[in-house]
Amino acid sequence: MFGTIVKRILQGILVLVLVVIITFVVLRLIPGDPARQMASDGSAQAVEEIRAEMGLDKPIYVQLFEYIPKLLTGQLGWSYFQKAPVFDVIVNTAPFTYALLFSAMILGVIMGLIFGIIAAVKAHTWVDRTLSAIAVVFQSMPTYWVATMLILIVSVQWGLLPAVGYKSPKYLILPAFVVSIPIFTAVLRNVRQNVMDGLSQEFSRAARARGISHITILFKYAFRNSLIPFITQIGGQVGVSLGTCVLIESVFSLPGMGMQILNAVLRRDYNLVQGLILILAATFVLINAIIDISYSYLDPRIRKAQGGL
Amino acid sequence: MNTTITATQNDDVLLEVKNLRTYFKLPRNKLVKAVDDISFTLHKGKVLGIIGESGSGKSVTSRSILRIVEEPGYIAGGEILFKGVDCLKLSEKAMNALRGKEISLIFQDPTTSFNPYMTMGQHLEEAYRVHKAASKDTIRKRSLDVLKMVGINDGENVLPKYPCEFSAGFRQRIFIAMAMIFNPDLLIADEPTTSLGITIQAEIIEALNDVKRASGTSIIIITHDFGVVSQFSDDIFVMYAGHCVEFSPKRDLLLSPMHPYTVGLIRSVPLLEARKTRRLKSIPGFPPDMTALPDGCPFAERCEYAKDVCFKERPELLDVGNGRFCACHYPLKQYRTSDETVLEV
Amino acid sequence: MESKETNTKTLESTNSVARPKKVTFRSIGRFLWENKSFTIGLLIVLFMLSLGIFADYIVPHDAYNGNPREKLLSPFWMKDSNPKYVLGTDYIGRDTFSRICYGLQVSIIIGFGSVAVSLTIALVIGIISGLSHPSLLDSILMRLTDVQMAFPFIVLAIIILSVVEPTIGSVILVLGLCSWAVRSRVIRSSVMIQKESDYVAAGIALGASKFRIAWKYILRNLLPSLVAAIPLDVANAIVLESLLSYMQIGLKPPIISLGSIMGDGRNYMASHWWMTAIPGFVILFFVLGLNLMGDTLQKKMTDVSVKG
Repeated sequence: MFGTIVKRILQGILVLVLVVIITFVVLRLIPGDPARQMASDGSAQAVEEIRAEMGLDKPIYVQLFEYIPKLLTGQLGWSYFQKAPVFDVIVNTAPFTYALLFSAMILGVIMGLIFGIIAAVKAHTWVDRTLSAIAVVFQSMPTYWVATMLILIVSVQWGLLPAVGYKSPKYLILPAFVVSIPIFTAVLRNVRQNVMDGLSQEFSRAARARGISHITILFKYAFRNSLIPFITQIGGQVGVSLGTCVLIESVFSLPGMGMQILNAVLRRDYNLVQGLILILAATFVLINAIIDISYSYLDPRIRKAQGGL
Repeated sequence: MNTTITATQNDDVLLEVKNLRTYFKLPRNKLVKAVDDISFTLHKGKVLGIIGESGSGKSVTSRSILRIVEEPGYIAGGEILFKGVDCLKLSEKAMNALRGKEISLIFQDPTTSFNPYMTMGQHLEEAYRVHKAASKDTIRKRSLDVLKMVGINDGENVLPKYPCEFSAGFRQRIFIAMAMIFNPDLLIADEPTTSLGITIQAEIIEALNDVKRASGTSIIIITHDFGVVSQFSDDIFVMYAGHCVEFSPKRDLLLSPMHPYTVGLIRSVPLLEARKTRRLKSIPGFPPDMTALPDGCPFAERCEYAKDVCFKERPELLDVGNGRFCACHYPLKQYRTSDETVLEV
Repeated sequence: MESKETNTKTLESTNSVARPKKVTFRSIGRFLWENKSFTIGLLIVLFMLSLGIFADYIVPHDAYNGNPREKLLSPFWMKDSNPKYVLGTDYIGRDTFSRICYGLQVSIIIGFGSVAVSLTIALVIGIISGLSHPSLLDSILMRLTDVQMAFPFIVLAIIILSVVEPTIGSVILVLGLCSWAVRSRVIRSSVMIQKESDYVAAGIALGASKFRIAWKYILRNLLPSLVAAIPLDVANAIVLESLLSYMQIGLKPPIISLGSIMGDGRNYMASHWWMTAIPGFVILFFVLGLNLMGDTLQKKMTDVSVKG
């Protein structure tokens, strides 16, 4: 058990190191010299000075070898355009992104669970068909387009909710709803399928033959047994949703990491891009590691195979 | 087809199934008559064996008795009199009170019939609590008792463990114990040994025997294996394509089967003893397409004795005396099996 | 299989040994009739495909150069519409319908092209790591897929597209490179299952070469599920491509993309909402059609694998 956790953490760290290296190299291959954009007077001498200051005059691998040790001591560097430490930029922007991500996850998962279970119980009836039809239509809508249309209808036409920027948590409602749509449809389909499978399992039939009520069978037997595929799927959804957050933030002009990262790439703000990608990737890796480890707690079969806790 | 296998001594009848029909609606308006007009009687403390090939409707019969046939199946008609009360007329709630308390069902595959996330103790406790509120200690004591009944003496070690920690045979014994937690009047064992190895099969049959001796419960044992029914059933009920083809006390059936299908089943049982040089014979052909049963006898196509009338008219189940019933136009009067000793009659 | 007696499929096929069915017009017709959502999806997809493929013959107007005097016209069902322009015109008077046809053409090319790229990568990585399973190579390849999944797609795409010029070819490559990981995981686990299966063991026992096993046994058995995945992957790629164009990171004019048509309308959203809404609906329908097809195919696949 302990060995599994250590192995999973080491794997996660390895993935993050690869992410850092790939980002580092690719960023420096982008044409366009940040030093030139930054030099106020544009003189060759000023550009050279900035290049030297940023270390851009050295070969890529030397820069990488200087960057990694700093990273290990927690130094993310200096954002040249924000004129602030990258760490501070992240601390200021991350709450928006995480708030968006988690409110969307909660909304999508709860809705998906409720309607997925309803669809499974009412399998092959008109209720189920309607829910499946809604799910496939929702799944087919491009999120950025939904975001635009919602701004137009809810904010501009009806004036119900604010459209862009961030002043109060009210500004998160529309974006969170948009980000939750793909989560909702995916969870609905997954829960429906797995609960249906669970209900048709022999142990559910056997429970029914013992006089156990439908509702107990539904939750204690069918749903309990679909928990692992359900949680696995949530892990996958975190990655997809982080991506959705990044772009929905820019549609709604939310001052989160997504907005920041898009601007940072366009401005060649290397350290900031590097830091933000690292944080996003770390979020994904961490959540998935937690999920992997939680399997063994959830499933007695894995727990026993690994020789107790 | 109104012939009913009637009870000879009405007072000790536990279960009487009359003209039971369970159908399945399939797409394209097809109807499968999985169980079509079957009737039988089970006396208190007796064991009835239901035998037939896969798809003959044996399991559907057992599920019909408990009214747990799943969509798209439904009970199309008949009566199921349990202690004189028609189960088919009971409310779902009253029926649910019977399930697991007065009628228990044992499933075929013990590897899939337990919830993998519940310990054995939780299974037994839940099975008890569904029908009766009781303290943890009472339930624990009862659990250990029923485990002992199936030959598990170290129940304390079994209860806190998960199903995955036991072998299939052991799980099946625990399942039987769980089915016995309320000393039901009727225990239905649906192919309880089919998915198990040959030595384990004997163990399970032994456990069922122990249970029967200890509690006096009546048992319906459903199987495709004569070896299983021949060991401890009193009557045998032979099913083919949803119909009853022969019903008879075990001894008579095994010694002088009357329906050609029964003969075929008996002849396909392998024998171990070398001096019996009988050639093993399988029944030619396949079971019929249940979506399009012929008008005549469903077995006619595979029957070596079939005549013209067999393809045209469906034979009715007729009382042929001595408590025996047979659905055949030309029941075999003279047939004698040569392997009595092996069949342990 | 007594226990599955209540299962309709088993009931239907109790005495018919499973054998490959002959494909006839009748069997196709029956399949379409019994899977109506697939048929609806197919009809939508065929309609969209023909609009895109035959765009050159269909378009009523020049999609690239507009008539400034007839700009910002409404679609046919609204006031201020001109019967010449069914879906209206954009801010420099280009016919929206014609532009959508060409946009579909680009979507189709990029959708299928990028799926070809991502499936190829997924196949190579999935099969190699599945076959070499417990090995260093397998671990390295799996960490690579982790890296792809941990990278938010949009960031990866922006970074790559700022290194390379966004053309149809490069967008295909970017989309392909950004979406192979999940599929390669699926292929890997399916290869691992098949490697343990009896028929592969039988093949090895019969002395079949490694290459022959990889091709004849494993790849062939993967094929149906790969084909079933294509519609869903294409749908995904179409949405991603339009997103890139919408955010002005993807294809540049004069190439028309559904995303850039939508992006053009963004500045006129408050007064001319349909300029954004219509291309969005076109993407929605195309993707809906593909999803309906893909869902049915995937369901058939799992049914088949459950049946064995």
